[in-house]
Order: sequence, then structure tokens, then C-alpha cells
Amino acid sequence: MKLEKLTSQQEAKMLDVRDFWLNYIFSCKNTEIDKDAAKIGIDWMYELAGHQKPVIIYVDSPMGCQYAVSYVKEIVKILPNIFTEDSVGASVRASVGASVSASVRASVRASVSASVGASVMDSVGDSVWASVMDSVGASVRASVGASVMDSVGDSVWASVRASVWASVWASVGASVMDSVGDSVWASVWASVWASVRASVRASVRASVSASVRASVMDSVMDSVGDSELEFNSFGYYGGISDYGWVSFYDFFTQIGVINHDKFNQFKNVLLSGIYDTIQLNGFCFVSAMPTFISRDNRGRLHNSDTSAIKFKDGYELYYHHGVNVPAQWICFPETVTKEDIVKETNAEKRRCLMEILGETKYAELLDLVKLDETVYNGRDVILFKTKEKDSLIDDFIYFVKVICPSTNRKYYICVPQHSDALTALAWTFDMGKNEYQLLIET
Amino acid sequence: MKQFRQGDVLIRQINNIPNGVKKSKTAVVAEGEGHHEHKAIGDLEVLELNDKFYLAVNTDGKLVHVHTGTETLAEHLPIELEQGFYEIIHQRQYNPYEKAIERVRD
Repeated sequence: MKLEKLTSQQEAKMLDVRDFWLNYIFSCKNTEIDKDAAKIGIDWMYELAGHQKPVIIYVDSPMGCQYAVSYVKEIVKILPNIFTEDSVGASVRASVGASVSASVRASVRASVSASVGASVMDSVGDSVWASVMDSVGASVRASVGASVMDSVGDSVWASVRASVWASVWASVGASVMDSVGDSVWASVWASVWASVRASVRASVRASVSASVRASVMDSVMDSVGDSELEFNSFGYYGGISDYGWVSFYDFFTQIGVINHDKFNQFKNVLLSGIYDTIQLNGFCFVSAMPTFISRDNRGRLHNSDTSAIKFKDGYELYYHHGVNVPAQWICFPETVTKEDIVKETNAEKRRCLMEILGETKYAELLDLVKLDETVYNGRDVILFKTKEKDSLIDDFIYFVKVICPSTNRKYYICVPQHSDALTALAWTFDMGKNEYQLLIET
Repeated sequence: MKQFRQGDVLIRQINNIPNGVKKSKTAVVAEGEGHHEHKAIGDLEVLELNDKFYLAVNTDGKLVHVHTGTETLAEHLPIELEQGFYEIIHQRQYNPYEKAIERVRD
């Protein structure tokens, strides 16, 4: 018989389950990965997807994962050249090179994702829906799954992921903290090297192993230090992005509606303390949880004094109400210059800077005077010009100030010389003033 | 012709789709640098030519602003699109130091 209504105890349990998953990350107390549990879980996910068990590399941050991939790629390039014995070289190539070097870019996340989706999510879903009325499911989803997903998924996972992507893609290279590199190095050294060495132990003499260690370390350090990192996507499953749907089914598990082996196993993967993973063929890079998270009253990453999220290796990110901003804006806003503002091409970030500095200070910094003002669709549109010519370009700079109808946020958008506010606004959409005739604006 | 605006994206109705367009591999017509994207959904085709997107709406379509990779609505409300052709115009800004026009991303 289907579950038609939750008892008061079950409703209370529902909130407990929600809070458990939220606290699992936001308490910042689960920063040590249970490596035994993580290995069992990751091996299981890989096997589910039809892949060999990977070598698992544990690091302290998602940025650490990116560095670790880079280090491993360098190690893999170097190893076959270092071992001189044919049998050893062949063994290394077989165990590492073949599975990693040629295909280190070939992420297995898609197949892992498909397998987890097919084997866990879909079937656990069927189990629940077979036993639970839609209305009960919807109510639990609203109270647990969606809430956890909103809090965790949006505020942390997506933000950090986007930030890491942006910063690595935009060529972090050597510019990211040395401490991260050191930490990753330590982790790579400890786990990759140990694993590789173990896999070729039978063929590799201890003396060779010892003498290679220093060479590999120096070579990898040098080559990674001089080059730009290549971004590797994080896995679809196996990290905090799963907390939403897992919390939903966890509730039904805990009240005895389902007992789904694969789901239970997947839950254990998450409860080993994994923050995120990069899943490659032969290697899985695992990041530990953050050690500090600060959010605003809407659950968005935010801290007006220091970083909003920190990891053990020193990797930290700064947020203004959910928007990733440079550390300087938060820690040393008094050092922000007019050039910093104008050179920031992201309008959302520039809007944050205006909020951080305050509108008056922002306008003062830009030294703006009002040129024209009009009302369009019920909202002010104001054209400003700098009072003095900018010394770098020997010219005035113009901004049109607009208000977003959905959020009421104010934006200053830099425009070429104009004398009319609406013409300037229309220019931002490559239109003339008379062409710009919006029916709906959201 | 009708015009709609969703944040930094403007959708303008047009009479015809230009020659040479190709079917786009993605329904995402604008990505922010953050974790939001503008996505076309419904009974429509997303077309592309020279980095510009066009929509051919068959019966009805919608432009939604969602959290990247999800269906969860973000800050801007959806815009309903009736049958017809549309071009997507991204908002731009001027960089006086580079003397360049750049796309606004939010």
C-alpha cells in the first residue's frame, strides 16, 4: 500500500534528514576524508561504469584537484623515460601510460554518470514512487530535497565550480597560491607515486624507485610551474552536488519505505567526506570539504570581511552575496581605483563593487557628473560622464546607469560618448533610440 | 516587431532567418560568467550564424534564465515566445582603455 500521508514523527524526521545533509557541509566539521570508505565507493562507481578501479588522489580543494591532474599528466609523461629496463617500461606503460597518458583527457564522468543515473537514481526513484503517493513525494521534495539542493547546490557547488572553472580556464598557471601547489604535490607524491610504485613493484628495483623520486619531483615542479593548467571537468556524481536528491531518498530510506542497496552504497560515497571529484580513466581526484563557509541570510556565499569559502590547502574564494569577486574588493576596498572599475568587464561584478563601495563612493571614484536622465518603462535611466578626462586615455568616460526590473539592482554600463541617456542604453543592444522599444522586460 | 529583454539578452522578432544558419548544438543562447544561463525551450529550433543565435519558434517557446545545467529558474522571469522568428542580441559595453566593444556578462 502506498504511503499517503506522513505522520508527525515522519515530518519531524524529514527536517532532521534535511538538516543532517546541510550540516554535513556547512558545519565544516567533515574535513577529513574517510579514505577507506571513499575508495570502496569510488571503486564501486567506476566498476558500475565498466571501468577499472582508479588510482585515487586525495587533495584538499577543487583547485587542488586541477593541479593534481596536471601533476599526474606530467608524471605519466616522464615515467616511461625514466625506467630504462624494457620490462619495466612496458609495465609502466601498461599500468599507467595506456590508461592515463593517452586518455587522460578522456573523462569517464559521462559513463559513470550514466551508470549511476541508471543504476541508482532511476531505480531508487522507482522504488520510492511505487510506495509513496505523489503528494507525499512532492511534499518531501519541497521540504528536503529542494531545500538542500538550493542551499548546497546553488550556493556552494555551482559557485565554486564556476569559479574554479573560470580561474583555471583563464590560465591560473603559476598565479595561484604556492601553498596549493605544495599541498597537491604532497598528496600526489603520497598517493600517486605510491600507487604507481606499488603497481610496478615487482619489476622496479627499490634503488631505481628511490633515485627517480627526486627527478620526478623536480621535473614535474618545473614543467607545471612554467605552463598553464588545463581545466578538467568535475564529475557529475559523487560530490556535494548530489546532496539534494540523496537527501530526498535518504528520508524514505530512514522511514523504512525503501532499502535500496545501490542507493545506500552511493550515500556512503558521499558520507566519506568527498567534496568533489575529477573522474578520469585510471585516476580519480578527490577534494576534501571546505574548512570554512560563510553565507548571507539567503544562503548565498558571502563575507564582507574575508573569504567566504576556504579549503585546508589555503585555496579560498571571495563572494559578495553569491557573486565571486576579487579578494582586493573585500579585503582592501580602499585600494580600488577608477581603472579597476572600468576594466572589470563583468557587469554583475561591477555592480557588486558598487554595493561594496557604496553608490556615492563609487560615483566619486569615477568622478561622475550627470549628463541626462529619462524614465523608460517606469525606471530611471541616467547618463553620466567623468568630470575630468581620464589620464590614461586622455578622454572622458561615459556610463549609463540602469535598474534591473527583476532584481532592482543598479548597474553602470560603460558606453561611448553620448549625450542622451536612452540613446546610450539602446546602444548597449546595438540599436538606435527609436528602434529600442521593449514590450516586456524581466 | 516585438522586442523582449531578459537581463543582458534582448530577443527581437524578425521577418526571416538569414541564409546560412546552422542548427545550434546548444539551447543555451547566453552564458554568464557566474552560474546562470539563458536557455531557449519549447517547440522551437535554435540556430546559429557567425556567433549569433536565432530562434525559429514553431508553436510556442520560452526563454528561461536558469542556474547553469539545471532547470531551476534564476533571477529573470521567463519570456513567452509565440510562433515566429527571433534574433538574440547580447548586451554590450564599451571599454575605453582598449577602445573595444565587449559583451556584457552577468
